[in-house]
Amino acid sequence: MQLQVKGLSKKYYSGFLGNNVTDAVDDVSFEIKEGEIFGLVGGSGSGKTTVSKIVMGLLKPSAGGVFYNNRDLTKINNRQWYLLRKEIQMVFQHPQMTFNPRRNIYFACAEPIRLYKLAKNKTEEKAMVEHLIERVGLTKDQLKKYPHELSGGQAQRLSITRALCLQPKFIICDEPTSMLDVSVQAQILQLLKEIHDEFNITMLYISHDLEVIQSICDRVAVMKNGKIVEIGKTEEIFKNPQHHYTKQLLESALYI
Amino acid sequence: MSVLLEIKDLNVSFTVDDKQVHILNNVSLEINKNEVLAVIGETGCGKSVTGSAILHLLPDNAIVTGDILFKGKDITKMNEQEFRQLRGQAIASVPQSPSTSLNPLMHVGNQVAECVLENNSSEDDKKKTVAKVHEIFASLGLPRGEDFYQNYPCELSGGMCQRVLIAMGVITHPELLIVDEPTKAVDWALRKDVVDVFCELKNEMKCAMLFITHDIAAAKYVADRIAVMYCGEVVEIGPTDSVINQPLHPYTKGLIASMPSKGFKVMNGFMPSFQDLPKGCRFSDRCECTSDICINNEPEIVEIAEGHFAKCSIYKNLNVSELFKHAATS
Repeated sequence: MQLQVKGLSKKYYSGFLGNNVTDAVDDVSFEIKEGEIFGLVGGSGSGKTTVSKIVMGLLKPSAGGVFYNNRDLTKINNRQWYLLRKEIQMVFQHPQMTFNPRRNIYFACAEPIRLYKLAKNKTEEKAMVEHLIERVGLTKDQLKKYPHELSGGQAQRLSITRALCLQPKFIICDEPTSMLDVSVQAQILQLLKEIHDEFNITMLYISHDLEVIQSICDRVAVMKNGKIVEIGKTEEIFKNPQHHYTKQLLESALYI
Repeated sequence: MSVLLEIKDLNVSFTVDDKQVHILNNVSLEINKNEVLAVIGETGCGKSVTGSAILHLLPDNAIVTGDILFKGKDITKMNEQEFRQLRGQAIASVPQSPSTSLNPLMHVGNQVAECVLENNSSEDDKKKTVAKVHEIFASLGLPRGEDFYQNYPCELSGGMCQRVLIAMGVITHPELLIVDEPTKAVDWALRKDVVDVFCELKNEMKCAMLFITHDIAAAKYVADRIAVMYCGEVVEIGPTDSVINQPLHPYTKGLIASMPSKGFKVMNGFMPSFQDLPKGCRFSDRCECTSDICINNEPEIVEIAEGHFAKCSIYKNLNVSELFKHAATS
């Protein structure tokens, strides 16, 4: 068991004296085995992204815990997170918004290498960046560009590059292809699958697109209003859905 | 069937830094009465530019040549005052991104009513319009009945905002509705609802639609005919069934094969930038069956089956029997 999520809850308080309570995530538990692609499906506002942010340590949960190799991620301090970020990385939904618009692509790709002092000198750093960027199918001349000059697909490849350059063991992908065209989506998903096969990386893949989930995930959890309503192997859920919400989701598919 | 809108050799260029960037290259389309034509293609291939060109909504640095005939009248030659009589009345549009297209400080009902009311409308007219707005909201399946009129856009979900925009488009009973990316900002379950709304509109309102989208599955459900665009050109146009099931142009084949449910095959490369296009066929550097003709000459549009055209050099020199052989093998 690489990652275990036990009884995770996140409550938001609003209104007079915080009397309005919203359960963004409510008692969510799941487990991800090593080398597995785990899918999280649900409509907008079902709490998928909140779960991913809690796992990533960007939000503190109200209750419950996240155990990574039996270490509770919700209770560790920033110094320990710095070391753990090497193993856990995230690919965000809006690729272009994750880059600093005032620095070029080379800086964006070299920043994690500098932070973790992976390269001894400038030339080694440059060689590392160039190797990585070719790995995801981009050319060296892209490095001088600024984020706004890239297309959505290229920007998403770069954010995957940045996540990969620390050689993580666990990647969270938060709707990486929801803003992209089908042809570019296929390119990105193939890239993710290649990386998964090559380095045996565990993935938590969040999406609302059932077709994509069906084609890449090993196991799936279906979320609705902050709760997991169904969890199981991808084929079983798609062939024989039990919960009525899953059935409803599958019925709303538009088949070609 | 009579032709409602006819676009002949439309060329659009933009002046950027004293240079002309040629975006649309000889786009020719036809929309018949009560017909839905879907325009599909990747981001930045000129789908929305085509829609804006019909609506006269292009920015000032655009240079438009070619003819757009709406019921026989050329609308590119009309001045703004004449065209205002058409826009919103006979030709209406549903813009993309529902969250940013609505006025955040107005009740949604008033925003819809505003499309029909004029400054000096009488009280009687206003009451009639309000009743009509309620009627349209009810027919689009919006909840909360009468109260919905008083909602602000921030109180509504993305799918509801999309339906309010659709209401704004259809309230004047237009003859042509230009719909720009209706399924882009909505999630999986709502996408089906939005597609259903358009299917109903098509059957009930009997208005022609130009359905601009990159969602091939949605286009399949709504459209009668599909036009595929690549790099500012229409590369293939034909009836929905034959374009989806027997695609002819290599680009269409690649696009459909990259759908997750159709095998997930990846096309090589990216769409080239408009400033440095290949000399001959614009798809030649990504195509699997490129030959010398493709690199040097611009392909012609060839009719392959009835009403099914493709712009590719493969089909240029084939006669009918060879065509069938080609279709059978590919």
